[in-house]
Amino acid sequence: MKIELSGTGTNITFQSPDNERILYAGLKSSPELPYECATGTCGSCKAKCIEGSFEWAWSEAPARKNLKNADELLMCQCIATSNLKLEVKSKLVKSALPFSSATWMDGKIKSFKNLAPGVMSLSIKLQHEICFLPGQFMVIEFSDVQGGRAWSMTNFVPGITDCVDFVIKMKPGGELSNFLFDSHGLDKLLDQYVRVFGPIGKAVFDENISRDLVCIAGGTGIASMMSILEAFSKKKNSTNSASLFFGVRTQEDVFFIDELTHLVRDSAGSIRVVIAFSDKAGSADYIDAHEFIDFDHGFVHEVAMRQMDSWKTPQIRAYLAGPPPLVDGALRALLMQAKLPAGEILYDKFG
Amino acid sequence: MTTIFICKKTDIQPNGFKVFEVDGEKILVAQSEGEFYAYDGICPHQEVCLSEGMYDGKTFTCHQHLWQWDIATGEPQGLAEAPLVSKPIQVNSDELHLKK
Repeated sequence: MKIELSGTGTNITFQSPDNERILYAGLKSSPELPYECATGTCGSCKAKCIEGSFEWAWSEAPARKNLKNADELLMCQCIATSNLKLEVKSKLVKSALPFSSATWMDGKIKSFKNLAPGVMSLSIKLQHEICFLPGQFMVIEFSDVQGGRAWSMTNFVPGITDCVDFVIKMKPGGELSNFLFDSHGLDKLLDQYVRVFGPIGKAVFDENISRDLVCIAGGTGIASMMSILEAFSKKKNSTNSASLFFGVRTQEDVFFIDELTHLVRDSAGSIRVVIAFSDKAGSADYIDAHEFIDFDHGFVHEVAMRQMDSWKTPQIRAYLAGPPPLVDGALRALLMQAKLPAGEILYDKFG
Repeated sequence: MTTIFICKKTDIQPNGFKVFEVDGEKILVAQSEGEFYAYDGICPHQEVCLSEGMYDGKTFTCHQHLWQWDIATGEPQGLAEAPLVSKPIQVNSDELHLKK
């Protein structure tokens, strides 16, 4: 099927194979398509159908409730059943960043590890090598579970790799969580085949931008920040700094602390990590045992704001990731208090 | 010309805003330096209601994708690609009315 997408004086045309979601078909050649979560929750890929017909692959997609008319669709959850003319209300502009083409491929789970209560890491070996940018994510489908899940890569490899690492949070009652965190599921996990689409996501680290980084993450939102900080640490001749504010409830919920310690220790002062406990403050023993990490108490975006007084805000680029209330709170604080330009706040909305 | 009541002046805090439902339309009313401005309360980008937007007394920001506008003119700033749609209002001694 031929898809003609127009948006404020710009046009993109691409082919969409049978049974392929329109967004995924388009992302194989056109990374400038409007989208964020790519999994039906954010509504950023909303389009209006001007001509042709389509059907819903997932009619219960959460963002569908915000559509007003039957001719509106989410490109990430709809399949073309004829040639289509679609319209979006933004310009379709190619990025200067070297986004790779996204594609479907098989992958195999090579390892997994429990990191904290209800949090595990997962490494997948891909069928073929890909090149991804720090901050990007992939959509993973398990054969026994309906629908795809969007997970950010925690690793960063300059050039190409066939190994991608993720961190996953247990969602009580969630179909995939029941499968992954169930002890019987764990036995089946190793060497299990999955279907993977990507790399995708636009909230990426751009090594050509000379700005200090501020990363604000809650829980498993830390995933993309690990990749971004890894890339930042590899940047040559940089005079910029990076500050990560990592929010968890208690010290028992902290993970990646060894990896974060290595990043700070090896950065010669350019990387700072602050862990914010929203519930119970960390014990003196715990804090003493982690001399390279700073600790604070409160909601992570409020902690970041408190410590922002001395920052040169016009020179900052901020990355946000985590539960929607955290991202919304951080957005408001960065725009209203810190007066950061909107274009310097990068995030992919997942809710 | 007819006019329809939107709100009392005191309903809008200095340098604040609210979105009202008026005759089936969402109307964004903002105050800036003592002046009142009214616009279509639906974002021209993804058509979300602007009631959850952010406003500092000069610049209005849609919470969804951070499109921003100069509240005094409705002109786009930063990431925004389209202006806010202005709504004509009549300001009486203590009330705001939408002109139809």
